[in-house]
Amino acid sequence: MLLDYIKILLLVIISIGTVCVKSKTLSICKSCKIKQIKTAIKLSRSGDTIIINKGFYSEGLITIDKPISLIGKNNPVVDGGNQGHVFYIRSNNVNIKNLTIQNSGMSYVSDFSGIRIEQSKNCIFKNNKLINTTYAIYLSKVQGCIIEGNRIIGSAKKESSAGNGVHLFYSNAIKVKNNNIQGHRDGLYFEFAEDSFITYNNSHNNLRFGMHFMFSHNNTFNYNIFSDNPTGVAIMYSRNLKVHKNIFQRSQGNSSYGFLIKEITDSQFIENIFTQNTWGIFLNASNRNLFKKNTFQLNGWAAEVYSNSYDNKFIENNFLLNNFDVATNSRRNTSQFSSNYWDKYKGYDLNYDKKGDIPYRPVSIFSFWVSNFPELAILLNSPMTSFLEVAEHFFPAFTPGELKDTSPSMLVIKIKPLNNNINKF
Amino acid sequence: MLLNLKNIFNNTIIKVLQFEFYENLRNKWVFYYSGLFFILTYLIIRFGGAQPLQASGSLLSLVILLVPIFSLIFGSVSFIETLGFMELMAAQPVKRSSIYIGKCLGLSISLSMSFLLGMGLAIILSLSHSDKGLGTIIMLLVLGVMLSFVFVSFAFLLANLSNKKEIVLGLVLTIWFYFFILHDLIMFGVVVSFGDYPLEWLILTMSALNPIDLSRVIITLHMDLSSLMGASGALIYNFFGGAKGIVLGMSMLCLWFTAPLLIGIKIFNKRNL
Repeated sequence: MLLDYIKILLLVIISIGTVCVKSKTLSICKSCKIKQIKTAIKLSRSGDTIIINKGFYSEGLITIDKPISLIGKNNPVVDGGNQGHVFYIRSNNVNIKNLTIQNSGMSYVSDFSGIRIEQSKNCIFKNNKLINTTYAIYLSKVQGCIIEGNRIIGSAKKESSAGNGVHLFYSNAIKVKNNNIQGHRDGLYFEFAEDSFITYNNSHNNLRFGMHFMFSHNNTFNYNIFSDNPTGVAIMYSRNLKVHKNIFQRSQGNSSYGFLIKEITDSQFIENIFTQNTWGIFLNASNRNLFKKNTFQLNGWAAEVYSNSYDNKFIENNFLLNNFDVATNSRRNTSQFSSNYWDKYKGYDLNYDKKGDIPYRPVSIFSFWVSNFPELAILLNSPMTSFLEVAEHFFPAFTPGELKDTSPSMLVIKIKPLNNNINKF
Repeated sequence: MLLNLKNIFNNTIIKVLQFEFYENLRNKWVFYYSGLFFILTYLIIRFGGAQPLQASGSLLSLVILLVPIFSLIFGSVSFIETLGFMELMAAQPVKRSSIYIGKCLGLSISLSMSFLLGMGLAIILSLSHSDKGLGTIIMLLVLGVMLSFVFVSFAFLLANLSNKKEIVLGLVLTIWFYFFILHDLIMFGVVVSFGDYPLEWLILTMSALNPIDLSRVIITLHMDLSSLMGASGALIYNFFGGAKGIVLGMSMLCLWFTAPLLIGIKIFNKRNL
């Protein structure tokens, strides 16, 4: 009984206490009492909100070391003056919203960023515009952040001096949603980032990769668009990924891949669209992955599967208007192809089960030679290639015998069209 | 300058040209040629694949197969068969080169017309089925016309080398076989055996040395099906890609028309008729 009273008393005391230190709101503008973001941060206490009104704030490095919210009103501009980071955060529960952050420094030694956050939890960066920063948003050893609705425009010229759009290092459970990223080295870059959700992002016109990550397990990538990057996405050394309903388009050039997959295991790639890439996907040393209901359209090679990849399954994919469907580098193959639709399939279906009665072999001899000698691409559509195909058909010497689809679909697999554009900027 | 032009395109050339053109209008083979193009083009567009892009790929194969071989055979046979008439013409106060140029142009124009008529009509009739790749198809028509000119001038050059029809036909078929397959096979062999060296310039030169290859590369690079060409390296892409590439390739094709014509005139001027 007495213990209960003490408990209630304690509760009352605590609630009175919290009312007393109730969070307050500070406002900054050129004609206000507080004119600088730095002073406002100094005056604020944990849990406070700082409203930044319209204006141009050039204060050099701004350090945030307590849990506060910075919220822009009428599009204020925070300028880093091309020196160091613009925001440097070492605190949990920091929010930054509706700001235009521009001109971080550039250095070959440290990675200067628009927003740099280290060893913290639960941050929210929402609806910001990051212009001309080396790294736009850089998370290092962070947990549970939300990065949403940011417009990120880099001006990277050279790979060596450029940084990444959204950079995650040793960070877990991050949500990256609805960002539009361009002009960086890699649009999104993760290293040792796990259990994260990357959805509805549009990463385009970057210097190297639309998205690049390694050693990052258990992540989910849905509804993203990667277009016009030298390589759409390059992922390496990770397992248990879910890659659903993304669009990979227009990665064209010498060694340009829509999706480069190296040493990825036990992952799912479902209902993605690969279109107008020189290589749709490139699979290297990756085992036990599932490719289902993807659409490969108008690519040079739809898929190049190296024979050091074991037990991958390609089921119910559509292969439409690609120059070559599948390429490989050896006659050995352990990948399984079944029930795919191949537009080049010339078989028949006598028992009306909508599956072709003779197997389809997607590796063509010319594709084998072109992947070894890219210059040969100039002979595309040459009548000579048909003669090679016929010769190879009767005297197979190079194409792998087991690489075949034993039950090719006679009809195009029906896949719901994607609508990945929710971001309006 | 103006006088010079008048000299080149003097009345005799125009007259021979007109005569040749009207003569060929009455030729049943030119009519069949047109009909063949009409039927095949129509069938390819209607049934050759659900996608218009696939159709333009097949049309390209059709053009680079039919135009060269028909122009070569028809040109050489027509030349040999009218040798008697040319003898008669040469007895008149007319330059031999005028007869040659007039006949070559007249024949090329009538073959191009019949090609354009056949393929163009089929395309117009099925326009609603293929409105997406229309730019490619127009370029294909232009290149088909250029190929007709190139191979008629080739046929005339070869027909000058012998009086015997069998030998000329043999030569013509050899040349066709070389340009159609052998040249590409040689290119293939060179790349496969010397692939470790930088071969881009060699490949570019070799493809320019074959009019069929030239037109194939120009079309392929400008089709939407060209994602693969990215692999062939930036040099080839920059060389034949874009509007610059079209102009460059077409002017090379013009050279391929002019060179055999000039050599042919030289031989024709000296030969016994």
